[in-house]
Amino acid sequence: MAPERQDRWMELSDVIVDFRADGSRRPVKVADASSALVDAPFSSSRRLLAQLPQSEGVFDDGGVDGVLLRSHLELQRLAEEVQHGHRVSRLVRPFLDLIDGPKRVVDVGCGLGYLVRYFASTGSLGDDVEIIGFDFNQGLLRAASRLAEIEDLDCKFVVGDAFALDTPATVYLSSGVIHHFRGPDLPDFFARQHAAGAAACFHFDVAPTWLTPLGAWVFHRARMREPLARHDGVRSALRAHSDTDLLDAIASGAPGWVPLIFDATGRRLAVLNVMRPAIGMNPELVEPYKQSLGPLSRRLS
Amino acid sequence: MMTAVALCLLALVDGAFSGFRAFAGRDGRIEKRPAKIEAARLGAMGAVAALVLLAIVMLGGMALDIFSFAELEEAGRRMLVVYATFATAITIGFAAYFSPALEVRSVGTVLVLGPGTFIRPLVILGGALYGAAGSSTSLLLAALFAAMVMLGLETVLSRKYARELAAHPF
Ligand SMILES: C[S@@+](CC[C@H](N)C(=O)[O-])C[C@H]1O[C@@H](n2cnc3c(N)ncnc32)[C@H](O)[C@@H]1O
Repeated sequence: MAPERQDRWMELSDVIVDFRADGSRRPVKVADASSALVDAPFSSSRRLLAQLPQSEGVFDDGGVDGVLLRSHLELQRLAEEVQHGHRVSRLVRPFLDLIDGPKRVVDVGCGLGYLVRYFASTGSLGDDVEIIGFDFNQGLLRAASRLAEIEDLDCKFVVGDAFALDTPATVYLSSGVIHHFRGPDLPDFFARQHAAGAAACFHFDVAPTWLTPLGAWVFHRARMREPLARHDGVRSALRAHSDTDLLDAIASGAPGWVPLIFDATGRRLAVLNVMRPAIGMNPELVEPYKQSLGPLSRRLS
Repeated sequence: MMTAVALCLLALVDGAFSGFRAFAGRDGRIEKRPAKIEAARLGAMGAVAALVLLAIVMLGGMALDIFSFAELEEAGRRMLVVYATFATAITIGFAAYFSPALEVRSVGTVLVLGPGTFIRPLVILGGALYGAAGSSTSLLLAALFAAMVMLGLETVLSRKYARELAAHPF
């Protein structure tokens, strides 16, 4: 991994799998994963790595998939508890309502596809919207598709890499994903979505406030059981991007979009500001969007 | 007697929450209300079993003159102070969770329900210690046993749901 893409709060889920854009994966050596945890300040990270399923110094795909699946189920539980689906659709729906004809929403890094399946189940994004989950982890997407099938939901899952984006969309969104992208990857992430012709993107992630690491620690202890989920949950709060970094990354990566933040840090009680989106939007749609959003638009900046 | 009834009721509610928590995060469906209710019912049933076990221990202790009813009642009354205070806070958080306003619901989750689960083991053990403080060692042990049984309930249920998920990972 290139040094500019590493940071001191690397998550285990970043280093234990290595996917190609077509969804195939390369075997990962435990020693390589361990050295990718650049000067990890806590030896607990390396201890957890050692406990993950492996044989002869290489992570075991099936075992690792099991750990990731259980972690994502716990992540879904957290999303359900904070009513994340509703939080996302109340901001995205007013945007989609501005656009005539068929629309497509792609959830980048959808994991188990909770949001995708929530939208399909509740219809909360409105009519005439195709809903697609996109992720490079094929194992998670298989589970997501089975879950959608069990509940007979109208949504699709596509394997791919956010940095080789080949699935066009009206709106790209994501949740809990962008803190994984560091250095030049962050503006590049937005650039590819803009280049793919999207009218807007809404990327939800943890807002870094003074309370976030403590809150994340308490919540992940209380709600998660998988050691990897607990570890990475706290890490993601520690490495979450600031509002300014996100706005700058949109401005430099996708200069054709107007960069916006909903619930910028410091505007409201930090404690309620759990996940806030960084938004990129075609300039001519910003004013109509504010109107369509109604009173919530006061929280955009 | 009212103390015992109140403690039993709190144990039932705590059992139902334990059942829900053991289930939560292991079923990926979007609509799963019946399964959640079933998990809470199972937790409450587990609490009934735990209460029967505890009643046998307490009655046995009294029959063998290890402690008296008055001692037990006094310890129970003190425990109730701790548990009822905690239950009141959780009830407020839970009420907020059903508010129509997303922001109020967030307050319930972020300030009360999550941290509540986090400190629950401390509250349960602390209540037992406070209840039995100044009593005989055998009563202290009985109170700690009761606390451990209530804490163990979630662990047992959690194993059950983990086994089910491992057997049928959908
Ligand atoms: C922390 S999880 C969040 C999952 C989901 N959005 C949720 O909220 O539960 C991050 C997800 O992003 C996916 N991911 C990370 N980098 C990716 C990339 N370059 N392309 C596609 N998916 C990626 C991972 O496979 C993982 O499922």
